Amino acid sequence: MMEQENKVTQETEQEKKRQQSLRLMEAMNDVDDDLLLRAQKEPKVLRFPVMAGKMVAAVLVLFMAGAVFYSATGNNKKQSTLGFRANSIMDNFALINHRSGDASPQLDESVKSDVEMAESNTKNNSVGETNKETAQQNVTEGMNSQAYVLSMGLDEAKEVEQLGEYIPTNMPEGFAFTEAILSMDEVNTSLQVFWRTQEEEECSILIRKASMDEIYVMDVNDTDRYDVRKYQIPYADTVPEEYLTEFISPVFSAGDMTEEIVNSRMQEMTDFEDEVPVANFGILLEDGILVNFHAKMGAQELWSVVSELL
Amino acid sequence: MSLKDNEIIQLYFDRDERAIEETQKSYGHYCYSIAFHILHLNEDSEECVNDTYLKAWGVIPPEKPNHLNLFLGKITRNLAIDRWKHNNAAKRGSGEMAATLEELEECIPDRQSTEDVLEGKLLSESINRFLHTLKEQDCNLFLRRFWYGEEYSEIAKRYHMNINSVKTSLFRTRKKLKEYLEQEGVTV
Repeated sequence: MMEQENKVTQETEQEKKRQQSLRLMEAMNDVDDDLLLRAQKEPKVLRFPVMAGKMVAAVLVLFMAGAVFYSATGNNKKQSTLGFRANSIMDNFALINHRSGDASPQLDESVKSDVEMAESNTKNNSVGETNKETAQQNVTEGMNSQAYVLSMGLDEAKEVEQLGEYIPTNMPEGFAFTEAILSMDEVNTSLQVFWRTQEEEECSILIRKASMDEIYVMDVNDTDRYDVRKYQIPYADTVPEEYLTEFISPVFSAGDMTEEIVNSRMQEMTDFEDEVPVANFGILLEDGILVNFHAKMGAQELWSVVSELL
Repeated sequence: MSLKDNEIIQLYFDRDERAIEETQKSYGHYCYSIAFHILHLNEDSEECVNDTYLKAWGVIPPEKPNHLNLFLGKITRNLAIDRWKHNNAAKRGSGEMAATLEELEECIPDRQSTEDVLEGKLLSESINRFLHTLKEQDCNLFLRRFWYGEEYSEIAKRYHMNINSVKTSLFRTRKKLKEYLEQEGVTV
């Protein structure tokens, strides 16, 4: 008897919820026309032609000039930040110069020297201007592959076909978007997005379609290959040589990813006054998209960003 | 060649029966699509579309829609929902509409009295305000799912997203809507 009564109550509740849902559906009929018109439009998909030379040079110069200006107004902390950004520039430029079939990316030496010059400059804007001109010249002369680099805003970045949808939407409090860079050549397309806080914490992700034969996906049980807590800096001296290549930025399968793995990648930067750790790793998602993280932030915050992708 | 909206509306005002023909030419497929997404039945969808034309003939004039397609679409959608309710009075849990309703389970009082009608209007206004707080893509996904009744695969294809991303976005938006309506004091 009791069971029957419970069943009737349950059915009544279910029916009630159904009616309430219907009401919601009906109430939506009065949605504003401007919202419906917007939803009717065909979504934009950004497509960029492959370009070379001056366009690439101009964008890179602007990016590097921004980095130089940033370092020129800062202290040691900002210099370390520039190092972070310079690494990201170099990673990005390495993608541009990478040719299909090459064993490893070839970084244009003239650009590399400009980056090093920018790193050493902390005070003088006029030196920054000189660097900008030099960088422009070197990039123009040094470019030896067809490639396209575009700096864009967050909304545009989110619309980049196949890649934009993987940009996290719920960044931790205080993290503001700073820039996105789309890089394309005949073979590769990648999207890099940067966020930072006022307290010098940073996060950047590099999203690209992975070439499965170039990626070593970590066995999460083999912690010697990726757990930074087991080794002391400099890693070149302490990490076994056979592990070193993957150790710098190991790739994990999305299905294996846990907060503990994020913790295992947090490098304590004891050389600097700030105590915010740095982490590098990649996540291979189910549809073959690789998202590489380079973050200077707390482990829990980083995990909240990572978990959004999983 | 199809007439422009203002020309079609003028036919209604002139009580020229070509208005229906031109409406069908321009928006027949659009209205059918809205009805079919809700009903998943060919005959019933066609009937809703025909009823849409009749209703449009009855209200234009004095109505003079700014956006004829949306005006017609809203009529069709209302008719299709009513038809669905009639068809599914005794059933539960079948078809895309049932899945959509399950996703939208909220607490709303039944429409029994004038007071409840007002609550319905308040709900509509709240939903509009809420939708205006959303980012464009989140709002678009929400409307494609719950206004146009599209399936996840259709939405994913339209916006070049994977299905899981669509589902995640909609899950978050539904959660936000519930919180918003609770904050506004609208019965949900």
